Amino acid sequence: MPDSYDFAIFGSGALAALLAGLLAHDHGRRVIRIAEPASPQRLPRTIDVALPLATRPEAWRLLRAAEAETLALFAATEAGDALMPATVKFVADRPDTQTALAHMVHVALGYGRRGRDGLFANVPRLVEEVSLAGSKVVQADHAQLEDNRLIVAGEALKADRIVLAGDIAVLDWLAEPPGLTVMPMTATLTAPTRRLPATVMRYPDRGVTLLQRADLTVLALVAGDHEAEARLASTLPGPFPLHRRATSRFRRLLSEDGAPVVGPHGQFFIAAGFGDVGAFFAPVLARFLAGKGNDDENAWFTAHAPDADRSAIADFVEVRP
Amino acid sequence: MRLAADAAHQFGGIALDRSKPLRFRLNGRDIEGFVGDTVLSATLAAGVDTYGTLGETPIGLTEYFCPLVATRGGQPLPMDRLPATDDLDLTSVGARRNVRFRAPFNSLLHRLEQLPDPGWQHVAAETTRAADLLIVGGGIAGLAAAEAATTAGRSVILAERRPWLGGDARYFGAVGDEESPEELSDRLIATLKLRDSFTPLTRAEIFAVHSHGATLHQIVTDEAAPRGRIVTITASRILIATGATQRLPVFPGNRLPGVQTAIAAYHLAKRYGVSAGASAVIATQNNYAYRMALRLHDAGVAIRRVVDTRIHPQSRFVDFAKASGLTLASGQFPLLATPGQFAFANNGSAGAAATIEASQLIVAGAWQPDLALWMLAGCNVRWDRERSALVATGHLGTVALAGSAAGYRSMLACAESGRVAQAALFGEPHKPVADTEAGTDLETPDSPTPIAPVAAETPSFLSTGTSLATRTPGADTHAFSLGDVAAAVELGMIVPGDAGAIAEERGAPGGDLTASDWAPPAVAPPAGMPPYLARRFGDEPERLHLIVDRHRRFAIGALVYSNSGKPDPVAAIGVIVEAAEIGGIALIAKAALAANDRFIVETATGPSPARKKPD
Repeated sequence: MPDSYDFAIFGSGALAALLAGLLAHDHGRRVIRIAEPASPQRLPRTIDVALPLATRPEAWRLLRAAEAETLALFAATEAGDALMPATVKFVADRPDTQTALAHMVHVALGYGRRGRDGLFANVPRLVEEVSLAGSKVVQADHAQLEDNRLIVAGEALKADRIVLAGDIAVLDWLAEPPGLTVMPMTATLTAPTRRLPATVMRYPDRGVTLLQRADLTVLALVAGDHEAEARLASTLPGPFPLHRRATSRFRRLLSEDGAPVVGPHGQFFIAAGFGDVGAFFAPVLARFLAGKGNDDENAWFTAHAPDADRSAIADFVEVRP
Repeated sequence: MRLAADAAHQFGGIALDRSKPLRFRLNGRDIEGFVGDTVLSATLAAGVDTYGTLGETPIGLTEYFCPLVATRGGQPLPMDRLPATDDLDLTSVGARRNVRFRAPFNSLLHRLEQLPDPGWQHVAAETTRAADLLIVGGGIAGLAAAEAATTAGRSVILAERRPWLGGDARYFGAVGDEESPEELSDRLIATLKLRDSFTPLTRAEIFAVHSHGATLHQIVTDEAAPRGRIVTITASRILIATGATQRLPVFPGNRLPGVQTAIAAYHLAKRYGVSAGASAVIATQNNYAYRMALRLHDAGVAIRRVVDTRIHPQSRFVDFAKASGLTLASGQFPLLATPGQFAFANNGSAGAAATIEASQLIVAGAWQPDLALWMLAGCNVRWDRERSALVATGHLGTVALAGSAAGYRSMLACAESGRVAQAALFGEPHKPVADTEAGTDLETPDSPTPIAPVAAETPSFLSTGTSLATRTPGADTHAFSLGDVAAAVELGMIVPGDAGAIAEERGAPGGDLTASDWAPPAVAPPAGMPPYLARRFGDEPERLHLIVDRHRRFAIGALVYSNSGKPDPVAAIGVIVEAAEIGGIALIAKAALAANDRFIVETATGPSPARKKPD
């Protein structure tokens, strides 16, 4: 194992994996990724889908460009099946959420993503885990930090930049992540239900996101503990009583102003608060970290730094149940 | 088949009264049995050994996997807990294949892709019972805990899923001069019977654990006809002594009719005098299966071979088996089961070294502590590499574990752990439990539960239970049992560090969801401009009523441009923020207003010219 790296990427999700792979292969950087091995039987903690409830045009422009790059990347690596088109429907209950959704619909339309009555078709969804097997990325299960040096399997390694990619990595290393709120989450897998109107259903006012699988089982991610079962059940079509096959608890970071938090923080570079869309930002984030971002990308990331004046990037803040 | 009434080792069935034959109907077929039988044991004795098919694969009928049965209009009841009685007319519950002419005689013909839910959690409790301590599990640990608790003046309710008390201990037999499991359990039961503060509930399965008690489904047998009821138990302390489950070795065909675990075969013979056939092959990774082989041999079952994954194992039971003339093979594992024929391979090989014909294959794997209720109570489990099993972690002040569920191995340690755990639950001083198995230092230890290579078209199941999880990669929607998770770890399907979390995710998913009309409470929208519009159109954008004609209205969110070029939302100079009777109210950048009096509003159906509404 080499003892010196340009980047140490912490994170077990798709954002971290893609970021590490892109930095190593597209940008020629020396990268070590630290992530605990995960089993496919674990309930997913994200539904990686390229459709945020974001209203800022700059975010959408970046996302759409990165989305196209991500599609091309997967196609080029013969992993195209890992991305599947999904229908996504937003259901807004509160008037102010309906207004925000209306703004989002028009901005998305401006970048070619058309939605009607909150329903969007052909939205890329990452359906498989991103594997770095056989890549140039060095992988490790665990690492410790001592005096800015990484200790991996008892060996001290040097990394020029330590990136915490994704909510879990940030939560693992920062007791008080800047501009981010810890949200308790529940993932539930139900027995087969009646068919949902779309593959992915998002209920921002109920804190619920649903993903219906091919076998009609539903994976539900529910934010917050308060009345969580009632909120979840209110979004499901039945038949009731509906059996729960699996349930797990985890935490997610929600940005306090609705915009992702991306940038230097102490000895780390953090990327969190992306919700379910983080993986699709990987190409632009990799370019930015490699110092190859264009002016728009550099401006976007600079504005989203934890210590920046974020008043011009604040976005819709979903209800915190 | 029934073993002889006077078969050795009481393998004629200690639960049966052979002087009282009975007859009932199941799916239109007459089944004969004896008083003391369960519907399941009598059905198995009648040669019905198949629950149904999963796809094209027949799956055996066992204590761990059997359907609910119901009389016409009656409640569905589990056939392993339902006593057989004369004149019952039962139908097994669940989807069945079309019964064809000359349908298989030995099958209940169910389709097993989707199993019916008994739905007990949606039935109101018929009665509530209260006690100081609820003990779950009527094995040695549970009985010893009950004896100690009642001696200390506490009231105890003991719930046991099976129709009898005593648990699995008697499968292992006595060690040296120690009291035998039968003697110990009989002594404890006799003591407890005399105590008014002790209430045993047999045929009672706990399906929910809550903060101060649990809810169970029990089959009541002291009325004219057996029936089910829901009972809520209120108790300030809960002791979980649910024992351990014998793991199923993973090989193709391991759930075929005629394949069963050694502990299941033991109870069938011992309690009900039932054997799955006149001959058997025993496949094991431990010493106690030799004891089982010897007993079956003595009871009249032809033991074709005892196959051990260990090489030249040393054990008193192995010596007894040799002395009895049994054929033994070591260093082999079960490779493939087909009806009536079982193939074995040498360790490290994928080719059959021996194929043996027999009525049944009895398999013995490692023991997985039954921690399902422990997880339901909100406690945790983790993978223990040394034991190759999921073990309990975490702590709840009002819930404790005892016996083999807590990881104890010897009978005396299980009994002592029951006594100690109940004392600890009530804050009394207690000593650590010593767990030593006499004589085991001279015996070959257990080896891991065998795993065979995959075979095309013959699934390998991970456990004996209802999940029907197989080693097929990507099958992630199963309700994994603890046995499934343990097998999946050993197969490399699950990372050991994830095993506890997966077991908890799948093992304690929470109760069924019920319909909800929950709606977000109404709140006043925030005053002023929403934060997501802040500084988007300069620091001081102006509100402007834009119109195009007398009719058209602009939707909120529609972007406003200064010209008709290709729209890029970043270049928009404004946005419609409020509906109006005609047109819409826009927020426009101040700088853009100075240069424009004509605008383009980009609507969902295309661009529309717009102008300021005249005052």
